[in-house]
Amino acid sequence: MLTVIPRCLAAIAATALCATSAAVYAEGQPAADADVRWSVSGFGTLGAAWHAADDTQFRRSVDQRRGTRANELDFGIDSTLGLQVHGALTPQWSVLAQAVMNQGRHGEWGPHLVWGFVKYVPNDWLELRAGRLVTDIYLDGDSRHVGYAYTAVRPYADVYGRLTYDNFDGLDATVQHALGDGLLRFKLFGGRTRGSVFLNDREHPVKVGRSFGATLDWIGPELSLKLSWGNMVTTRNDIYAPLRPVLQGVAEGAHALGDHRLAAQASTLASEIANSNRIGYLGAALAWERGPLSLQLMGTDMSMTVFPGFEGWGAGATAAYRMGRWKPYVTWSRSLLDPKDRPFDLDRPIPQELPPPLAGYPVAVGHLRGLYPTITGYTRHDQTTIGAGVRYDVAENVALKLQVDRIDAKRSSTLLDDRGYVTGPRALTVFSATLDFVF
Amino acid sequence: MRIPALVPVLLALLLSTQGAAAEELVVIVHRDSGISTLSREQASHLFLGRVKMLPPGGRANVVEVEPLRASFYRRLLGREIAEINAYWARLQFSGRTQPPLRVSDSAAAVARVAEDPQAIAFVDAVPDDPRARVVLRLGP
Repeated sequence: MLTVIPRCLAAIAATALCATSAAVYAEGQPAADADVRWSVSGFGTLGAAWHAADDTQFRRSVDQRRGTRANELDFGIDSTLGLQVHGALTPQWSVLAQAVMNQGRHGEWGPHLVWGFVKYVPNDWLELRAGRLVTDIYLDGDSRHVGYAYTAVRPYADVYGRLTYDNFDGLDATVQHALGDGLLRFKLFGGRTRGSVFLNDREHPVKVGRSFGATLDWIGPELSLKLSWGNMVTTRNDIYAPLRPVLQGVAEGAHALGDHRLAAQASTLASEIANSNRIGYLGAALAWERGPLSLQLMGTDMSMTVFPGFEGWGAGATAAYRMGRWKPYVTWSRSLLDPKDRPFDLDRPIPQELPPPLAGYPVAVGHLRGLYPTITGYTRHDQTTIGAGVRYDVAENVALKLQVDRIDAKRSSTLLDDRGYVTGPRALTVFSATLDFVF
Repeated sequence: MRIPALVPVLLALLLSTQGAAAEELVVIVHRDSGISTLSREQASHLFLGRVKMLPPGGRANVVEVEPLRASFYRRLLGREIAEINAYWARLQFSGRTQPPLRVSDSAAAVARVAEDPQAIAFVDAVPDDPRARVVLRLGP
């Protein structure tokens, strides 16, 4: 068995030990006076995952360059260390910075800034923040990094694992008002997108993009409801830029040969590479807690006009029952994404005799015949996960989780083959153990 | 240790909860706070950080008594302290709000409330200090 030990493992283990024995009354606890108060806190996960499916890498999110390989006890995909500094400058003004260190896009463990903002709370119904923020799409808090906050080992990899353009530099504004026996909250957010995707042994960062959206929450004593709407618009998409002149060449060649249908199809696709630029989601979530029982349901509709475009949906459910320190749970999630079904008649016969200006036309068509199905296949995704596990709260700030997931993927962009390429079909059972802590 | 002797130990571990079980827990505020009573919903919103202002206005300075936390949240919300801790991790590490001040015993909480008209706390007995007012009672 190959054991992968990231460089920061010792640091995370040491921090976990410190967290276990940390004094309850940390010096950083906010005081009740009006002075400027600084506090330092943090969180982390020491996680291990294992599966036995050959030629398969299991990732928790698509911004991870590598995943857990067959018969490899991997400490990389779930282990995390986060450090947060909070300053309460006045009762209305505060600042916060949070850096997270986990296995990043290039396989390195360098820290990255997840939160970094100035907050202004003039009254009980308005809150304004400016700086590095996170898109508000998660039911268990606005972050996918704080393992201690979740019931399960990780957020639904099928659904949230694909939404990694979740940081932005900008503003959000939240208003809230009492409604019934709960609170109604409405948030608007927008800014410059930060995030990345790692597919086919290559990183695809958003070089220039904008995120904007809104969420509506109602938080009651037992029931919480959430509606989310978000968009990410890229203003420069370099991923498929090399394909554009090929498509334009085919459009011009087909036009010259009188194949106006193919010319129009190729011209449209070439135009989309430059101009179609939106990734959108619309989500709904429900959390219900009564005594020891808790249920979560969520669903999201996803669409992407960015070439080659896709449409799909994701859903997840978790049921758990708290028994003292123990909390057994079951989870289910599924996501489906299909490329937009648009005709592209590349198989039409090419005339044998072509004038010299069109000598390159058969080459371009042949190139696209091989490439286009591959590109559209990159976005195809059909994956279901069923899991069961138990959370044991070892101490006030430490939780141990053991989880088994059965993953069935007809086609997946979360899973990779051993070369680092999107893959499918695959079926695998992933065993996970994590020690989550806060300090 | 024989296996039968382990059973009660394991059961205690399985179902163990933290915190002492006081006879009655009371929520207190300063007598000058302008609050005479609080509903359970109002107390829940304040102690869970959802509402940051006291009902008459002004920022709430929420105080928790560490040994009473498990008992208080079980009585107020019917939820185990591990759930409350996970809840606070969500809020704290998504920049929404910071957790309340914790003190070591009820006397320290009463002292805080007696000095701060914006403070609110839970304690295990009706305080003798005339500056503290009981606004919610949570029976055993």
